[in-house]
Amino acid sequence: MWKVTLKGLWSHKVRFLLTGVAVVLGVAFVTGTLVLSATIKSTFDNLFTDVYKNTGAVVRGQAAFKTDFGDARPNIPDSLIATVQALPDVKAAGSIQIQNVGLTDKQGKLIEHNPGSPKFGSAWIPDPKLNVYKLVEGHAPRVADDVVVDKESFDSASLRLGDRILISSPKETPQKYTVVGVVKFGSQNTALGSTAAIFTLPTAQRLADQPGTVTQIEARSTNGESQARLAQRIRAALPADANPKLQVVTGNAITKESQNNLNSILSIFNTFLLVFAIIALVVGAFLIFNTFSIIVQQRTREMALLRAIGANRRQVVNSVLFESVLVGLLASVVGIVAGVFLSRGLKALIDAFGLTIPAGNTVVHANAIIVPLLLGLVVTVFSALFPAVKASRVPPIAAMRDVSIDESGTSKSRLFIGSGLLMVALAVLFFGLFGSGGLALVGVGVLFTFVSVAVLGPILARPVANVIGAPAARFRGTPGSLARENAIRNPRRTSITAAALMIGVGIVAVLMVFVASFTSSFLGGIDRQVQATYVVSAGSNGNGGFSPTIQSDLAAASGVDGVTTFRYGFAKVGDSVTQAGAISVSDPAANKMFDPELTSGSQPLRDLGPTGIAIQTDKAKSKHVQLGSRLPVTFPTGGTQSFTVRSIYKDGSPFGNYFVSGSAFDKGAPDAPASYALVQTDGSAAAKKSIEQVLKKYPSAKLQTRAEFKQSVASQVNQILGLMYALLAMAIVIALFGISNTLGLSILERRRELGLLRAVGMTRRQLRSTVRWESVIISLFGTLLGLVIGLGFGWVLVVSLKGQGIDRLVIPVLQIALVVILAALAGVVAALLPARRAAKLDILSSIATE
Amino acid sequence: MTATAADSTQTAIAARAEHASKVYGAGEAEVRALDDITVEFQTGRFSAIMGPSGSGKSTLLHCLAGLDRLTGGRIFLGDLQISGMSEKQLTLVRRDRIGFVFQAYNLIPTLTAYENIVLPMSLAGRKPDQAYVDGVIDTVGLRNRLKHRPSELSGGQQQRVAVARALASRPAIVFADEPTGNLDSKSGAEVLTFMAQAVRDLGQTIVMVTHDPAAAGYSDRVVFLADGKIVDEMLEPEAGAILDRMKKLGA
Ligand SMILES: Nc1ncnc2c1ncn2[C@@H]1O[C@H](COP(=O)(O)OP(=O)(O)O)[C@@H](O)[C@H]1O
Ligand SMILES: [Mg+2]
Repeated sequence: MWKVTLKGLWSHKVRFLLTGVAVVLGVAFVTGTLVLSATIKSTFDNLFTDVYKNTGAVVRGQAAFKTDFGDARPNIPDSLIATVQALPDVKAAGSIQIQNVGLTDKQGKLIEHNPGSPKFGSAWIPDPKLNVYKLVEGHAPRVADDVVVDKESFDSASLRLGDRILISSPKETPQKYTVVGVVKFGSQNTALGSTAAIFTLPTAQRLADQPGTVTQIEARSTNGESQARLAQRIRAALPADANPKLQVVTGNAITKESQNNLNSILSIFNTFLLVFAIIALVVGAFLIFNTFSIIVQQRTREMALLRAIGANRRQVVNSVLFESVLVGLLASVVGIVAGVFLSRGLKALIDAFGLTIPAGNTVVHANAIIVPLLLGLVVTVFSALFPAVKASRVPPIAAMRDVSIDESGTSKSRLFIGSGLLMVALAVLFFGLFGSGGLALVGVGVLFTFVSVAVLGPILARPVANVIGAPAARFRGTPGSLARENAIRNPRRTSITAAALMIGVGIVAVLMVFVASFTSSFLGGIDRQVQATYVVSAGSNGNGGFSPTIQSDLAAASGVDGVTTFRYGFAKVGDSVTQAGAISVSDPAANKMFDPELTSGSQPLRDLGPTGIAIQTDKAKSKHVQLGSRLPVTFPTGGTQSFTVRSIYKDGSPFGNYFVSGSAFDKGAPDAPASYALVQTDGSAAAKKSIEQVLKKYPSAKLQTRAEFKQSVASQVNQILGLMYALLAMAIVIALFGISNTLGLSILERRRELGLLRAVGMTRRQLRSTVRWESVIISLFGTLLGLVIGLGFGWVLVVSLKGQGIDRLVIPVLQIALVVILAALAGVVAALLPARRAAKLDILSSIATE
Repeated sequence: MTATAADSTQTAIAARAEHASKVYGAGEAEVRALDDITVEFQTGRFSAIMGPSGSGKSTLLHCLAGLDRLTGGRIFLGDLQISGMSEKQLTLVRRDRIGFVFQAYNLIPTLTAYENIVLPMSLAGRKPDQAYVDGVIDTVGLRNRLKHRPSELSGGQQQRVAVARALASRPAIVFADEPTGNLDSKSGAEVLTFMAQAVRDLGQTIVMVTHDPAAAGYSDRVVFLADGKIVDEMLEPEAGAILDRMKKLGA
């Protein structure tokens, strides 16, 4: 029995290769995701271990609140350094971390090792054991305008010791510093692609705009005591009534904490990738299901021909199971190996879309092997089991009948089960979207919808393919009408093949509708709310920032009528942690350039004052506040302040949900840089010139007209969309393999009739055309199903997000047309091999086939 | 033994094989399916090829019909030399000049009986000669089955549709390989009657392979094959005489 199965496998190697490809691709994607995230995790784990290698204990402020990215903490007084240092056998240093401190080359151009990569500023730590950087050239910073830079920056910008370079920082007007030293990070020229600018402690404090404080104090013991013991001694030495409240943790604890914080961010990223991997696997499952259905059908016929009925039904199931285990196992192993390499490809892909992530040596954990192996195996065997069991119930005589036309697709029970399932799916989906179900429920709903449509597919296949195939039949003559007939002769086969494509296309369609609606709503918001001549934004990805001093510098430029700057930072408003914005307005006239559509009775945003807060309508509703209500706000510096709701503005502002004044923000989140500046000018070219002159000092700031800004927002959104399309491509490629595979199997099945067609005068070209059109019809059928579902989902999604600022439903007709055209082309591509194969069939031996 | 070139002045030659040979395999395993055969089939005649199993009947028919290639010799259809033609040219010759009836599986399952009948013409993008096609359909008695698919037709009906297809495009010649091999004797007789009728009434040329003396009895002339050679022929044969001849050949 096993021998027979193995022989069968070998004789159908092409078929199994194709089935295998589906599993390989799906498994490779899962493996690649797991390997990539393990690699990133280990890279960061090692980084944090290195950073805190010699740190025995850390003194820092108590967390004000938790954010998704870790705790928000206030700085602590630098006088405590001396307190800790004074302890016997203790070395201590104050540490300051500032984001977005940009080095520039001698031309004043920002140095970035990767687009948007982190740019750290910090204070020099004199103790070489506590300092993670190692001086390789020059000396430590000694005076206020000394800076030490990472070797990567030094080399790539061809700097020399003694060069004066401009350094931009989030809080002050960029200034020139002297490069006095070069550091390495361990043996690396850069710490994971970041740039480093290291100053004296007072300079770093000034740059952070937090004089007299440090982010944390790092200490080590020189007497070999335990970290816990060291922490204990430090704790005892610290003043009990310190403000802010202090916390002492061991080096090991802080390493662990840093790693955990990062892992929670990584897990979001991981889930994001895994979702696409799972989609690919589900699509693969359809393909496997279909292949095995066809194989089982053929096998049953073979067995029946051998008159080996009865006991052999079990044999059919067993042999199919054995085959599926073998295919699943082999393909999973290949997929896992491929996935290890794919992880690099995934990283390159993500990098290519501008989200640079650092990753060191590839790390393959056991779970990156076991999970995909099990998934691949289970998916294959289950996808094969169902058709096997089903086929084994078919009486052999029925199976022996000609393959010609399969009427099984249109049964009543299929209609009932399918629509029942669809109803459940939609209910789950709606509960997930509008009820308290959450995202996981939405996913289940979506999956069920796809499955139920796949169940209903055979019923739809005949009428829909009839319509889609009409032009082919009309304009392509006999090959066209044969193609149409072929596409509907096995409605189940056609619909499952198409359903695999439907999934990918459906998700593409959801994304299309969502992104088009989001972009249009967002840009509409800018149109309505922003009247400024120019928008100054920060960084190559819009993240990062520049010093709020840009406000006064720009306001002073000639031809500038007014400036409005926006800054963002974490804050706890009421009981929810959120990104809160600060708005600073330079000139009363400037109020016109940013109008968030205030409700009547609201104060203009420039008049919020030190304790006024502006809040978006839907947030006001959910927090049950009106104008004049009090709302507690906690900033990272700690301490909860009571704010008064002075303004309520329309939902869907592109600039955020809450605003306080710049002065309030200075107290609560002093290290938050400015993200945007709106500039109103007299429209003259001279005004533009003078703005450009000012921006020379702000290398991270980008000047755009309002239209250019809108364009860049749209292109950022499209970049993310592009990444998702690229990730979905895997699922779509698998689906195309599915079409190819199904056609290939169908052709084998129809050999005699193809031979006959050729005998009575069908040319090879006509035969290829027939196969091609069948493929196009299947592909368009899947695309159509996908579009209908996807547009439906997209619509529901957009409606459900009405409160979140998506106030327009946009159906991107042009893009949809493009998808249809691409699908037709994809059908042609999928048909290439099967068509060639069909055309090459030997006429005589095809006719002679039994 | 065979008709010579001189005779063709009187009756046109529809198909001719000249020193045709077909060899399968090489060395020890060599099989001479056709061994230097020269034979002609006249226009407007119903010819039969007979011989024991494995004698090369099907091979000869396939080579005459452009479905298979000779290893040596030449094939003419009318004045057209088809040996040496490209695959594409052969396909067009089959489509435009030849009708086929195979032993089984003659019809495309997704097409109706009518669509099957006019298939070669629709592949050529030609409009059928409706009056002629109607005549053929009435002759084979399929008028009320035209919309049926092959799976809804009996074996005999299916073969009649196949004969109708072979005749409908008015090909220069029809080749039939054991057209009644899978039919009961009554259905077989019907199909053979139609074929004989097409020759007699419509002037069709038919070459049929069979090993059934009764079937060959419908023809005007029987050519006997053995071991890839023409060994005999009979004009206006009778089933009994054919049977005797076959017995001699050891079939
Ligand atoms: N494709 C092939 N390969 C090898 N030998 C073949 C092939 N086709 C036919 N033959 C051999 O050629 C001879 C003639 O076959 P065929 O023309 O089918 O005989 P018939 O139709 O008279 O029964 C037989 O010996 C057969 O085995
Ligand atoms: Mg034969």
